[in-house]
Amino acid sequence: MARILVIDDEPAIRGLLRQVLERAGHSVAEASNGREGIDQLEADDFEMVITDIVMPEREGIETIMRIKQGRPKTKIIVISGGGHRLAMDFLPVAKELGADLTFPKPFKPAEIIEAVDTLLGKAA
Amino acid sequence: MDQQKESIVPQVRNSRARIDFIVAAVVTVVLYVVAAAFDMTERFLVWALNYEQFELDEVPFAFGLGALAFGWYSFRRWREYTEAERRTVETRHKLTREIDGRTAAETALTESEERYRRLVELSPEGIMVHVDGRIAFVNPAANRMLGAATPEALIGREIAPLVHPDDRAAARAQVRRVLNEGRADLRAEQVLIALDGREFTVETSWTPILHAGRPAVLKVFRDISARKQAEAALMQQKSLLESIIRSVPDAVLVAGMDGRITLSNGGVTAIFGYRPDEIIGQPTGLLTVGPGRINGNRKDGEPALAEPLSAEGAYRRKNGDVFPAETVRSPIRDAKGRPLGAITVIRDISERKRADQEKASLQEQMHQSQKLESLGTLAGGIAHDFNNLLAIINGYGELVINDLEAQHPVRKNVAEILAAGRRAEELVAQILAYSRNDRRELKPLQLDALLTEDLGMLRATLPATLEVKSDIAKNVPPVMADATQMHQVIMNLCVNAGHATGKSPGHLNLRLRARTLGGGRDKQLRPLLAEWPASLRRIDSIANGRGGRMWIGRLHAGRYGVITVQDTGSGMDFSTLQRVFDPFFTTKVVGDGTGLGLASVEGIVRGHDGAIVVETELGQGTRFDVFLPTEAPAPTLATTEDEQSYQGDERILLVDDDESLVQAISLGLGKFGYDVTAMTDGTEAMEAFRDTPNRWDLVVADHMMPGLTGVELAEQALGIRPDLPIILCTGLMDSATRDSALTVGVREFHLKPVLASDLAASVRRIFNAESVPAKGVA
Repeated sequence: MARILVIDDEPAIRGLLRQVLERAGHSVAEASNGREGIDQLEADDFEMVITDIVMPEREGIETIMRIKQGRPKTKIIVISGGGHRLAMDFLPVAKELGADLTFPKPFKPAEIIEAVDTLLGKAA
Repeated sequence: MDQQKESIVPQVRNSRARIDFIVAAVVTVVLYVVAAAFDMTERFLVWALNYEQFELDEVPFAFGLGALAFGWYSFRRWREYTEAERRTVETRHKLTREIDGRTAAETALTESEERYRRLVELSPEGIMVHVDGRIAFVNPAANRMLGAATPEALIGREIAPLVHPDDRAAARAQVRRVLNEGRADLRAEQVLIALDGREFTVETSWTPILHAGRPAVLKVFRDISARKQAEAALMQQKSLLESIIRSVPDAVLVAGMDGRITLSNGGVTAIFGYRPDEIIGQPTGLLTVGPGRINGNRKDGEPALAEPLSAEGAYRRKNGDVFPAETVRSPIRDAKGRPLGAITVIRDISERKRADQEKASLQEQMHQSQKLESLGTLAGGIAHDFNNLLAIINGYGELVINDLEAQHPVRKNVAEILAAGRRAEELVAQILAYSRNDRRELKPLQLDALLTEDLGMLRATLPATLEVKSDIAKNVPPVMADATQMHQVIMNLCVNAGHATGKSPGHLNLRLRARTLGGGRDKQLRPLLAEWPASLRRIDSIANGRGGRMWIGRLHAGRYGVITVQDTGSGMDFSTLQRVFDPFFTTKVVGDGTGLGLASVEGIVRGHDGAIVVETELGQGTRFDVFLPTEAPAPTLATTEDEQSYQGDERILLVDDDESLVQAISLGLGKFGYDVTAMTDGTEAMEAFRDTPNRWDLVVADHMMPGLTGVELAEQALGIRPDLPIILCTGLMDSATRDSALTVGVREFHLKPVLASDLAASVRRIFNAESVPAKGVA
């Protein structure tokens, strides 16, 4: 049971992750971009952030940097479908900046649950 | 005349013979009469018949004997007379003829003298007679040439001063030979000096004659000054033409109407390899491929040398090489327009053709490369959205299927949806692999272990008729590669080999070797080691288009792991090979392949700084060699060791409208030791730079900024300091931006998001390159 913030500009993905995570017993909050996500992180405590990278307003890389600056203990999983206009793969960059695990889209729900459990288990 | 005839001697002798004859006849008659008187006749007859009565009176006998003697004499004289008479008549006729002829000759002589006199007077040639070195006669032409008013001005003069001093000795020698040896065939050119001092060249002949009974020399001369001048001009023109022909780098040939070469210049030797002595006299056909290229042939088969020609054709060098050339032929005609032959200029255009072909090939490759790039960009562009959609479809699909009981009737349908979703995932993965930017984590990878692992899977996947053989070297150093992508490469190549073999039995060889490249010694790999744009493919046709060889990517000297996949399948012809790496090109039936298999192989191998060599021929099978560098390519992410080498103290102006990013990068670059001035407004940054352009050593600018774009800022800053290194960061690298940035003079590009370590690496690259003289310069 953990509080997890899901940041993704695609509502269906947020909805999917919410369902998957809630079925696993976690409580989920959603944000549609990095700015909203950071706002929520400042207002509330989350043990984990699952974020996309390519988003309007504030993209994921910057968001990760902010989270790592302000709350280094927060676990971060990055899920990305690649660059929006260019087929750039940001996952290694995200990892370098402090993401604990990265997944390319499309992901398998089971992988996410396993990853969340692993990260939170390690933390515990 | 008649008096002359009367005095002729035979006439006199004839009249005396006549008198003698008459006198002798008269005496004979008288003697006979006296003898008769003495009745001697009868007696004589008796005596003549009867010797006993010989003693007769001797008087009548004596008279009779006398008459006989005179009769004989008279007869002789008569004969003499008639003979003389006949001769006289004959002689008279002869004389008459002789006298008539002599008269005619005298008349002719007179006329001839007159004619010769006129000839001499009117002759345009100078005629002069000199005796003992002095002029005895001159004709008006000689007079005129020598500038004398009258012949008297010359007659009596010494001849020597009229001859140019240079020619005097020779002239004296000639005159001596004429006089001493009687030679009449001597001719020479000499320069004469007129009385007014004018010099002129003459052609002179000398002939010995008698003049007033003394040996003299007849000198006939013709002014050839004009001819000499024309000759000199002609010689000059000829030597000019010759030097022009010699200096022409093209092959210049002159051929006669028989098609045989009469002149060849140095260009012929340089281009064809024939020395002039080897080619002169040879038919022009020696140089041509096929009949009548130089001469040309009209429809009637006659050489068309007389017709101008401008054409391209194939020619043959002495060593047998055939080469293309441009030919221009002009006929040569005599003054009356009759053809004498032709001059032909042959220009070797093999270099030009080669360059044209190379250019065409390069353009084609460029075009191809651009096409692929745009497809890649398109594919990469849709991948993000597509992955989101697939995440939703597959994710929710999984949720649904998990919620359904095992026997639920809908479950099968959802499973179909999920299966399609998984295939779509694979497709997107292929597209991303093809677009090369989907570079996953590159780690040292043992190819032998990877191939061994794949072999198991291949044996299970490929048809049983295909015998898979492997030869995997264990000594191959690890390559920097993404394992998943390498699996994809091997599987794609092997599955293709399986398709190429079809259902008939065949072999698939999978081989791994370590290979060290360097110096371009390997002819087969030369195209990959050459200075050839890495983005281009190169392809050669073999076996008359029944196959081909293709090189993709570029290799540098170094050590490589080489994966070889070779099949004994159907092989490909040249035109199939040309397209085989194109995305969406497939020879398989619908559903068997996506047309992205080899395209993604290319993308992945290029993404690993590797190269591919393909060799194929219809019916012979296909061989792919994949070269992967065993040394790490330029790191995209800094390691601790690298970070030390990224350190520096240059002053950097950093401009980005994203405040937090500017701060983060500024801090990051600060850690490497750089002195960073961070600004968030392009226009303000430009103003600051304009005020103190030398305050910074380098500018890092974001491209997409409100107000002033990065490229505009770069352009203005470089207008002030052309040597200023500028790094451009952009979230969107389209070719237009890239082109304009390159035109402006931006040194390096970075795709956002950008790391400070990447920037530091760029900064060092730029300044290290500046401090060390650039390779290949000078």
